[in-house]
Amino acid sequence: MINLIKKLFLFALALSLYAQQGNDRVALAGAQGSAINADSESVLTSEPVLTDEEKLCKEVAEDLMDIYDNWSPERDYRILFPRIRDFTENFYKEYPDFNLKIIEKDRLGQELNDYERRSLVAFKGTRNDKIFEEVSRFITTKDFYWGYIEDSLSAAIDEAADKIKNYTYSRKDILLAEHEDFVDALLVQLRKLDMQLDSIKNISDEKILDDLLADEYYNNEMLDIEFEIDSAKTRNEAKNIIEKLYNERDIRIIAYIKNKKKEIIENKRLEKIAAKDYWVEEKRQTVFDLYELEKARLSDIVYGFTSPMEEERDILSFDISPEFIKRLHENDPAVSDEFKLQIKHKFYGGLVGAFGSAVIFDEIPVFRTFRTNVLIGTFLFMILFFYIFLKVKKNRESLFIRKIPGLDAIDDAVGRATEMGKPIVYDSGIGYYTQIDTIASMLILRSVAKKVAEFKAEIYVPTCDPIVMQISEEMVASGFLDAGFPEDHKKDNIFYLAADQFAFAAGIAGILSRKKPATAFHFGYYAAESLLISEAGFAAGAIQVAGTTAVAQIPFFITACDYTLIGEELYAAAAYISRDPQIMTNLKLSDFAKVVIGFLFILGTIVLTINSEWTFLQDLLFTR
Amino acid sequence: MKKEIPILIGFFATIGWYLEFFFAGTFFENWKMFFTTGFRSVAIVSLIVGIVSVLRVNYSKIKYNNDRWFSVYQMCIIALMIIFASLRGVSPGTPFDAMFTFGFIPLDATVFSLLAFYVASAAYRSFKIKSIESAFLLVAAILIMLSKMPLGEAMWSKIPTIGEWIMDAPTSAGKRAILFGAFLGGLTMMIRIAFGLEKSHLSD
Repeated sequence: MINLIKKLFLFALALSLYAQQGNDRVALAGAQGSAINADSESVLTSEPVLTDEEKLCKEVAEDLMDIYDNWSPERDYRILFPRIRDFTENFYKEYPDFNLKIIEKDRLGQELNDYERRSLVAFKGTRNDKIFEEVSRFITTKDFYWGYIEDSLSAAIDEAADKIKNYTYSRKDILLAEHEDFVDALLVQLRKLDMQLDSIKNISDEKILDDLLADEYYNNEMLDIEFEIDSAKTRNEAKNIIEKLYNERDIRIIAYIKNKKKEIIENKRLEKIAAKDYWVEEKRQTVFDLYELEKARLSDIVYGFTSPMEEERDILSFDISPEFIKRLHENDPAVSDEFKLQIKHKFYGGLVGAFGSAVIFDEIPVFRTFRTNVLIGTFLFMILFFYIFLKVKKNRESLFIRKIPGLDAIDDAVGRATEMGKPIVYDSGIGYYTQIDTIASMLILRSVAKKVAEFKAEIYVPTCDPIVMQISEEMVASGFLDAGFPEDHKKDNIFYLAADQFAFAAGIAGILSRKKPATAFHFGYYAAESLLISEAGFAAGAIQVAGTTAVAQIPFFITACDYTLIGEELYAAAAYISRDPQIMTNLKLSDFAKVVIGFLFILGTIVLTINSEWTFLQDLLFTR
Repeated sequence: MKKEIPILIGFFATIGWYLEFFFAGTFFENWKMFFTTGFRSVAIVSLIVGIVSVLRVNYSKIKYNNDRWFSVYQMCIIALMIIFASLRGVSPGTPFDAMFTFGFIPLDATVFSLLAFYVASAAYRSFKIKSIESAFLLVAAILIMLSKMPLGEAMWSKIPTIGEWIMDAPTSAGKRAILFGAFLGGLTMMIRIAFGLEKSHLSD
């Protein structure tokens, strides 16, 4: 009985415990559920937690949107709308039958008749060139833009930009410290790669073989060989064939290992080079570069906040559609509002651009410290120049000047023209008067003209720029005056030919083939027309002397001309011809500077070969 | 004074441009802007000078029957383009644009395409072994030509690599040497002109 009571008691206890447990579970589930519901509600209802930086960017985004909201397109509309209406009316006056079907036909690639094609081109012109560009120019061109918007708006844009600027300035020390850490990390990475490269060079063949087992091509080839071995086992001469195939397999495995090793080393080497370049580049970043990077980063955050605001306001890109022009022509009253909206869209684009331009870091010091090396270098060069200049002045008799055969030939070339009774053609290339090659060419022209006058020959100077023509005229006149025969100068022989490169080349080729000159000089800046001109001169039988600093054209001149001045010889030519030792400093200085630069090259190569991290010489010579 | 004043202007202009490279600020920016605007103004005036020159030269040719019909033809084309541009503008679809697109551009392209033939004839002349240097040139040229076509690779797989090496190593070295010389020569010439040591560009 007692046992029965005990069992009943235990059963009741177990039941109550089970019931208690179930209630707890339900209670727990209820508690958790309510908590989750509470969390999800709080997520749905409360704002996401923003950092101070994000708050600032959001504030800037809201400032920009305020400017957009407060801007009225009325004034632009009043000015631009009559203009675009005029463009459209003029177009429809000229092509009264134009309709949108032509655009559709063109879009589908169907053939258009002459009228349709012409009208479509004119339509595109109206749409793109006239209306679109007119509005773009008016709204976004800075002069118009700033002239148009009120000062208060301009100040508001500056105020928004200042927030970003001031925040960036306040982070100057952090940016510098972070960048320093970053550069150090890059150096560590570089060293790691260097060590990896060294260890890869000593990697065992077994290790490479492990890598090869993951290579699909390798496995396929090995499978093929194994298959052939298995097939060969069934033949009579199996032993020899199997042996041969095993040998073949071993040769292939060795070849694979060799190539794989080479590939791994090469990849690592390239990775190391890229890491080094990156490190060197980052090392040279100034605080202003860091400001610009920070500006880009913060701008991205700002635009992240403006994007939903743009969607709220339905801001789209400016687009004058064909339908818009048609409706404008049909005097649809809704067009006015649509155009105002388009102008507002355009304004938004301009506003974003203006904001970007307003974030300028004007903390840049008056002296650009990162160019100190150039300042010192040019000073040293000038000191060297005057030193050599004075030295040349003192020892002008004993001075050795290397021979330039092309310039020595000028006397003979001019003399040849006199003997043959044929003219000389001198052209100065396609360079403008601001280019140093053209200036050098003008200096040579004076000396050549002097010789031409002395030898009583005739000179033609076709030019491709009117100002160069004026200078050439002056140079030839001065040359004739220097020789004492100003009356022999014919003004009409110096003329403007064409500004276009190939039209100019064709013109000179024509002159060369018609006049059949005894001598042709080509000194100045040339591009693809160099060979066209010099080959025409060759075909005409002229003795030709050319000179240019355009490296790509020198081979053409060397091929087609009798004498060619290479690079800096062009700059020294005038002085060389005039035999003025003082001005011949040019040649001496160039040679001297070339020795110095050559020495620096060798030194740099040695230093970097010893240790690739010793970039001090590179940094010293680097500028931007 | 005819020479001294231009030399002084040149000197101050050079110093201003030189300092602008090192110093920031509105003064130097304006200084630079002053000269760039000056260049632009001169370029506009030069257009008139160019037209006058073309008219003068062609007038004398027509008058003295020196290639008369070429000049007449040239003057007619110029006049026609000016008239069309004045009457109907220069935008796409206008007669001026048609003359430019269907007349000028094909002629321009024709002259440019002549280059291919000239390259062949010039190469034929220069690829003759007259000295050791020209032998080197010939060998290098043949290797480069072969490296640029599939035949070269078919002949020997290393030919493209050799061609690439010739272009990257010796050719680049030569080019850079010429460029260094040219820059140094240009710099020296700049100093000569800026300090008035070179006067031959100034007329008497």
